[in-house]
Amino acid sequence: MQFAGKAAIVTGGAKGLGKSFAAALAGRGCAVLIADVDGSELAKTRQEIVAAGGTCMCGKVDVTRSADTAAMVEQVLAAYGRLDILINNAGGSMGVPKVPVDEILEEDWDRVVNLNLKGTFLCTKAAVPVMKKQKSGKIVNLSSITARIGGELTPVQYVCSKGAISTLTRHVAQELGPFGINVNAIAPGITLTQRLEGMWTQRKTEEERNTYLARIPLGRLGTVDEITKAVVFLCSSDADYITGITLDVNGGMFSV
Amino acid sequence: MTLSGKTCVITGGASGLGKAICRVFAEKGADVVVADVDLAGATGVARHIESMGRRSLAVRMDVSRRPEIEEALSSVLKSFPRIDVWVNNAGVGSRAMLDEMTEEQWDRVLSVNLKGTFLCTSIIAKVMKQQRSGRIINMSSRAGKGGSYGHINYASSKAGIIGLTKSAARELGKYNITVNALLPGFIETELTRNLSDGIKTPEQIVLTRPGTPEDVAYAAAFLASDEASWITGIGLEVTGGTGMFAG
Repeated sequence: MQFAGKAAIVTGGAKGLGKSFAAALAGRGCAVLIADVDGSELAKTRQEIVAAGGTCMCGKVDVTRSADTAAMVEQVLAAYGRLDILINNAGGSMGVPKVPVDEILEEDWDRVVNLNLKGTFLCTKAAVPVMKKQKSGKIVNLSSITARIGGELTPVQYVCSKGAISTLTRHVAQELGPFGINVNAIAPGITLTQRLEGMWTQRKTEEERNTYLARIPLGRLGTVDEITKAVVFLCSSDADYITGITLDVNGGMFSV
Repeated sequence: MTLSGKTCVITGGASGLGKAICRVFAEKGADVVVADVDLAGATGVARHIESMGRRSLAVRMDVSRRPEIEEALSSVLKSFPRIDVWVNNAGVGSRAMLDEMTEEQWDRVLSVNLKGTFLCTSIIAKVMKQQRSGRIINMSSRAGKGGSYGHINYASSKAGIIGLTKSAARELGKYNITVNALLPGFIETELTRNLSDGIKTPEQIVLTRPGTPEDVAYAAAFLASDEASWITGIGLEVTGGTGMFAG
């Protein structure tokens, strides 16, 4: 078991990509805390992971509230005694479509930037003291292809917050390298999660979808499983000498 | 992550990074073809891999010469029905300051590193297109993005490999062939061990240690595996955090 004896937090872990990350780590022997603001799916996801033989507990956490993120780290320490992996997955565009910049509501800007960027910051801040003491740790942040080439389905506040997550990743990696902590980001292209599949079909005509797919060398959207495997790699000891990067997983559409 | 059942060809496999890639790939279950200008060295690595319980073959290959690649490939295809992974690792260096670098130094490094990667990629792409699958992994370097003091031929060849990688990824994606590059930072090998400290670590290594050949080999194994099926055209930095590139 690749991650036996280790403990992880996956934010936004109740569904979608986060659920898949948590299940993959748990399936490889890692004890996992799934944190989510949406309590309704948490228990069900935990049951599924436990039924598959994994060790898992839930935390109802709003990543934009520092009291919640501090309690989340305390919870994992109380239960598992350590924290080896933090996946800052909670985030999204909060249902705001790709509207022109001059039509964006200030409160929508604030809500999305808070969730994606401040949430990543607060969870990192809460987890880092533990990892520093352990002299080891892996942090994986969720950037996005939109941070490279602009948003296809999502508005500017989403795109900017994802770009800032890559910047945060580089800075924090430099700061934490001497403590043996790796900090990396992953930038998925459009991936067939339930949420994105809906946006992809509702917000794009068939012609627009085909034009977009023609820009992807591998000719198709990504699967949840493909993003998960890249995240698992970054969490693993195979990636011990990789830090500060944003790993593009996008079928070849764009990379720096 | 497993490479079980895959046949992998590693150029420059007799020493340094290439040797580590051969060993790590075999550990992860691959059958390994060790290609090198140094046939005796390649044979030694192949014997070691066989002792690990995998199939292995050593072939002589100067990657800057098309007939040698084609000849080696046809002998490989006699023993192995398909080639799943090709690692363009063979490379050389030859240091001199810009105004003292000879044309021969420039030509030799570009010929092995960049033209060699082009020749091998174009030749193996034909095989992989027929298979409708394949993985090509090219050895670039952090120097390909950041430059290298006193090693302009090397850095130029490694930058060229990035452009080659992205172009080949665009052309070959529709055949389910991925093409990616690795960008190692400072890695301690037989070749680099005796360099002066100033050349070794011009910048601070965030993770406070030089890289090992295995660090690079594990990243290569990831790109070679089924885990990386939606990754193509990237340059994966394995640098311990030395000089991070925004984007």
